Amino acid sequence: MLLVVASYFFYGWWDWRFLFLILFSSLLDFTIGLQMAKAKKSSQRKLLLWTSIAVNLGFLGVFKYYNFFVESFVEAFTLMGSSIRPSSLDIILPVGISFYTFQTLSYTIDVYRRKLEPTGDIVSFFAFVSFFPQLVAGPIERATNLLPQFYTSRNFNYSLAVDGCRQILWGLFKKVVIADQCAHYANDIFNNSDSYSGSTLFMGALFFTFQIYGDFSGYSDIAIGTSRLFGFDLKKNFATPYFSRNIAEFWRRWHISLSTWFRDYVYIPLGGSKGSLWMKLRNVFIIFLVSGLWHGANWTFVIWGLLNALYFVPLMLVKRNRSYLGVVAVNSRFPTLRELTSMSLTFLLTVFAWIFFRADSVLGALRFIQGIFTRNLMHLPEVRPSYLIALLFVFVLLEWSGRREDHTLERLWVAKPRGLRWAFYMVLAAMILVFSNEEPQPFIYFQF
Amino acid sequence: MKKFLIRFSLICALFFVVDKAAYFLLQAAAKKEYDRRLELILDGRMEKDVIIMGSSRAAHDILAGQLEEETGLESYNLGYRGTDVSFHLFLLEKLIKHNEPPKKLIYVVDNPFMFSKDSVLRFNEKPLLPLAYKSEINDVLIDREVNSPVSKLLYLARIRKNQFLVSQQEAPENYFIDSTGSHVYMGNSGTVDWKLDGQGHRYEPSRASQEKLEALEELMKLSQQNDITVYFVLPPNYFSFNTLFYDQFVEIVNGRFPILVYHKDDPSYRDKAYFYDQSHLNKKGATLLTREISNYLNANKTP
Repeated sequence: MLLVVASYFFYGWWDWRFLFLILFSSLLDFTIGLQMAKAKKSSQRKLLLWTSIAVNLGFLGVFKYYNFFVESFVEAFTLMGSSIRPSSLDIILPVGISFYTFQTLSYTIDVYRRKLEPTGDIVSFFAFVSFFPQLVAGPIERATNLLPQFYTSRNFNYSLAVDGCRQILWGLFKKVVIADQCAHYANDIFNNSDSYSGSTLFMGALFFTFQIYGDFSGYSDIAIGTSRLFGFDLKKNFATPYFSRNIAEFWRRWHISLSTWFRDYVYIPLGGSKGSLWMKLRNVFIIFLVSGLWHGANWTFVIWGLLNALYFVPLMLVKRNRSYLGVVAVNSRFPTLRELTSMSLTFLLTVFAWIFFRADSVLGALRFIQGIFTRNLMHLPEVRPSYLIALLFVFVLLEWSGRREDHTLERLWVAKPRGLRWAFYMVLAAMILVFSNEEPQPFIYFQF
Repeated sequence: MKKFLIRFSLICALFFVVDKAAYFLLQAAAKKEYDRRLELILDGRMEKDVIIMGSSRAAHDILAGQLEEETGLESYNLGYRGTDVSFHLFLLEKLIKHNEPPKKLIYVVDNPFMFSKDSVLRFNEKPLLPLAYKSEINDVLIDREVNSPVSKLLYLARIRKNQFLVSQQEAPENYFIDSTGSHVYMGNSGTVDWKLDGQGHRYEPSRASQEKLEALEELMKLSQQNDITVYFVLPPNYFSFNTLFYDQFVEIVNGRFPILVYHKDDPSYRDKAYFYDQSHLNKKGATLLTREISNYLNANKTP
């Protein structure tokens, strides 16, 4: 009960009016779950499931996509020569709506599929939907994993709590030191892209690549670490995705909770990788387009999704999409030349795709890419903050050393003498404090 | 739980102790700044007869050294670029708190931006940042939401990354501060579109910032309480004179202090040779204006 009150207080602090929305969603899916258990006919169960999907996605559609679709229709009509008067609404996007909607939907779908017994414990269910560490930006938890943890009484677990603290520390480091510093330069370069050389534009894309990783995976680490302090174990959301050897591996390591959600609730029901080649291609494009659109109501996200689908399709056609299921260089300290080459290539592909994600418009992204290749790509970049480049280098090395763990600090220096270990944590904490004094940036994924 | 809390408290306590080393880092960093005028105020080393205050127009248009020679009064220029009246009030408060108050305050008025809400003039926190190791400065930065409340406890939360620089900071181009605090501009900017001759800036007195109006009122009250005579100076400007602002300003001052206007339609104030750009005088212009002010002060000597 305390967690529900704390979570509602946390959410209401941003805007109390949207508490009613989350309250309604929770109540609806709790009731639907119970009704499904009572329903005798499968048609009744199906009706209940579709009610939940329609209402939840309806809220998401109105709050997140209404204006986008209205404006897109208006533009389409304008292109065809007719003009219609748009009636867009001044809608505020409730923070975290994409995350908790998917979380609560996973419950009703799993109950419908009889993978999960519906809960009769309303307090636990409300706590599951609104659990404050991951409410506003994930990870998107499954009811099968998180809900049962609310049923049992939790005893304080020293190791879990200490590890949680380490993960919070690393999450804060990623957000404040890496992401926010990169944001400063990425924003400058993206906002003034017409006046920079190709090499600087490339640096901007590179900075954004690290910004979005530090920002989002940093938040996930903070959320997972905080949950561990309370004795909860959330699913891993990032697994050093920039060390992926192809784009399929990247998508198994980036925003894992969303990728697996789409895999289990959209891709597999559509037929997954079974069926004709046409069906497989259709499913891949659907999953990436939906994933792009999930991020926001903008064509840039749609193109970003489409681009990733185009990266993925060749791998699927040559049956290489499940080539790399394990960790790179799992038994060695360094990657092989072949691994290094494939990692670098995959990384460059993601850098290129992030340009669409970051740009304000598709045209802006195209101009940015054109600028990279037409304006002195081989010259020394005008923007090259040496402290940040050094920081990123150390960051990549630390991430590499922790690639086999749940998070980077899980084992790093744990075996060292306590004095040395604590000194290391203090250096990280000191850096967080010093860098937190520079232009703090909001979390990118709060807008989704 | 007990073990966790003990160890967590221990590491926090240790961090709290280690953090205190940051005080010395901050102090050392402050000494590398090129503009240390605020430090002089806080250290009680700003005991002058005449203080010049205002934004860049004060910094560039009045030469404190020349004023000192011509009036025999020890003078210092505390003009800071881009600052507003609330920043000047802060300076005056600190000046009075740590030093013997000056006898005269020459306050350079920004016609017509002084009270404007949308003006570029603002409370500029930048000069305060190197001195954040002093609690009274850090408190101001916390009030202005520049530093977090955590900085009350931890010095590390008061540091900026550029304070780790070991070398002496160089003044930006065209920002040389002389020994009396004035910044002299030489020649013309070269990038000015002088075709804008006479084009004035719009100002609506009804949209004046309440905070800035109150700051001016407070500045005048503080001066009266400390027997400081304020001379409001409207320096020559290449833009046309905004009478809406001027009338409002005269009404607010209400005869409490003299207002010296050097921006009439007199052609001698509109010679490009005296200007660096439309808003600022160069050395030639500043020498002329300073002489005019010296003449006024000499002619109106107070005991």
